[in-house]
Amino acid sequence: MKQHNPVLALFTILTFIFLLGPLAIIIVTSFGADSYLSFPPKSWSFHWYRHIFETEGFLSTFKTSMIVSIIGNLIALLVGLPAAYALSRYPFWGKKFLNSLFISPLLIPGIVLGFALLKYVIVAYQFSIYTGLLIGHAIIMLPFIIRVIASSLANFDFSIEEAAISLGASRFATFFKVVLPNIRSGLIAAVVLAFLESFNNVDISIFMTGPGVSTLPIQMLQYVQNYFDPTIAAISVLMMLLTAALMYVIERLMGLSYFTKN
Amino acid sequence: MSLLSLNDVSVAYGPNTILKDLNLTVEKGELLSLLGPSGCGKTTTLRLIAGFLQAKTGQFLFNAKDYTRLPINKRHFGFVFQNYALFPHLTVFDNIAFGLRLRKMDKKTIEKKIKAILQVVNLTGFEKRFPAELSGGQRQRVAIARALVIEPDLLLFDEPLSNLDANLRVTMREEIRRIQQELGITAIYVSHDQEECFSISDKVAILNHGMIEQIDQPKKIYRYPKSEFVAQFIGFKNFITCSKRANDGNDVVFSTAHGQFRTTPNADVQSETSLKLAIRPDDIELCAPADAKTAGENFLTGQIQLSTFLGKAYQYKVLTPLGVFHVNCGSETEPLAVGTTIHLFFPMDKLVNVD
Repeated sequence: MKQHNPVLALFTILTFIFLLGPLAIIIVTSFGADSYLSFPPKSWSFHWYRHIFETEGFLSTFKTSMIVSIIGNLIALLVGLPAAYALSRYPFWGKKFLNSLFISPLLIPGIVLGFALLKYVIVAYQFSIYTGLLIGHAIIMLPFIIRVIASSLANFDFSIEEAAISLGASRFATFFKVVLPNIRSGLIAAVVLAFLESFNNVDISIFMTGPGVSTLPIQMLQYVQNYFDPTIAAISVLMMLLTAALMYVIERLMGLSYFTKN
Repeated sequence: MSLLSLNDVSVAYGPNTILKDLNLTVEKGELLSLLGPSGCGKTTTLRLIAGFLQAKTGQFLFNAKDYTRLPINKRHFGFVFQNYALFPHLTVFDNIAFGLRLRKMDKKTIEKKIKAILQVVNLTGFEKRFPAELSGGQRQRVAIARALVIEPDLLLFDEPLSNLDANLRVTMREEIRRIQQELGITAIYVSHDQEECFSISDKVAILNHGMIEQIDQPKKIYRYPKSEFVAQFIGFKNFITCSKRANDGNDVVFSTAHGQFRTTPNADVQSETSLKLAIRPDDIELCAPADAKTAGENFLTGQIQLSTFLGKAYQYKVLTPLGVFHVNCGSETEPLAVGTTIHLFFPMDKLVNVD
């Protein structure tokens, strides 16, 4: 028999209102016809969604954001995958230190990281804006890549790697034929989480962007400084949809992997 | 020339020496077991032969070729792991096909070979299952099939049955022996279970502290352990330290402060100076005090200190002037009470002289 505790039920409902209420308000306002943000809107329209595509800057910065997040992700993966593998596979001196080093971008405030990166790396070495963005985003994605892959490698039985080698596989072939297929869901989760972190990032990007090159969140920030119309709500809704879709992918993968594990 | 020989091989992890100047030979078609307590170096020896680790010094010859520095994937040995180490993302068929595909065999040959090997391990019809859908015994058979199908020059087993329950262990070890003999394959088998080793091996090597204490046929080791360590390991619980030995025809008479013990040593195994005797708890007999067969020799009197029911027997802990002895008596008779004075007879053919 289920016991219903009315206080607990009320508490749960309030928590959900607290968490989801603002999102609901944004969704509702984005369909308003007024030229300013109002809740509830007096009349309804899709006008502001159309306006996103008519306004200069949103599409191009969306493209920049995609490029930076995807290529930055690949860079982070190229560094993070071998790092996560080494950290899980081998005991070595300084392992604990490296572990904390790799998650440190999560601990340091983004503003500090962004400013330091700009002053001591980007400016000092005269990197282009694109390069700067890629470096910054790769750095903030790295902890997600390493942590998520490492946790999926923690469940990986490395003796199957030895089995593959004893059957004649090279180390390289073993990694691709045996290790990767078995951490696939962790790998995808890592990539998606890192992508979301990068795609929504403001604090690093704000230092890295410059004339002519900007990311979507920075463009949105600049837009709200000048205009107060529901366009921003409409974009927010689209970004929420993207995030929700990606989270759904993770949920399916991680959920499925939970059932297929023996 | 032996098929495999390890010559003065040493292995060390940092400052810890795991194997010390180990020498070992294996003949073609033979099943050799490495037996010993945990930490004795048996798994290290096996992993060294497989190529998972490298010798610090010494040489490993296989088929008269130097394998000491040959990479694992070039050795063409089969390895059966304790935890099976099947590829969880592949079906039984693909698990077994893994080694064949790496050898660039065509589809037809692979299918034929897998069909044949599944018949050998009694798993026909399981091709499409995933490892998670198999029982422990079935997984182990897949692991054996996967190692066998590449027709390895040598098959290595690392405690393959220790994760199975007792009944299945017995069935599986018979299977392993049958397959090994059917295919005439040379194998090395690591275990800490002496019954398992004795039942399937042509030869058993007993290891202790990274050195081989004794290597021989199972029945010879069982009957004539060479050293006190080996004797203890294979179930000799009682030891007598004597003060003097004297030859008497074929026999040797050992003297102690509390009587003499007569036995016929095996000159192949035992040294001619050792003063230690060993006997199993099952081999000591109870007798009447004035029994004629003792003739004053191989005889001790003591008091029962403790009685333990072992199922098939009662084990008495008996305190004698030469120390404590463990004696097993059939459980069909009523047990003797603690404190009872009993007389122990040590049959001379069961008393073994050890180093």
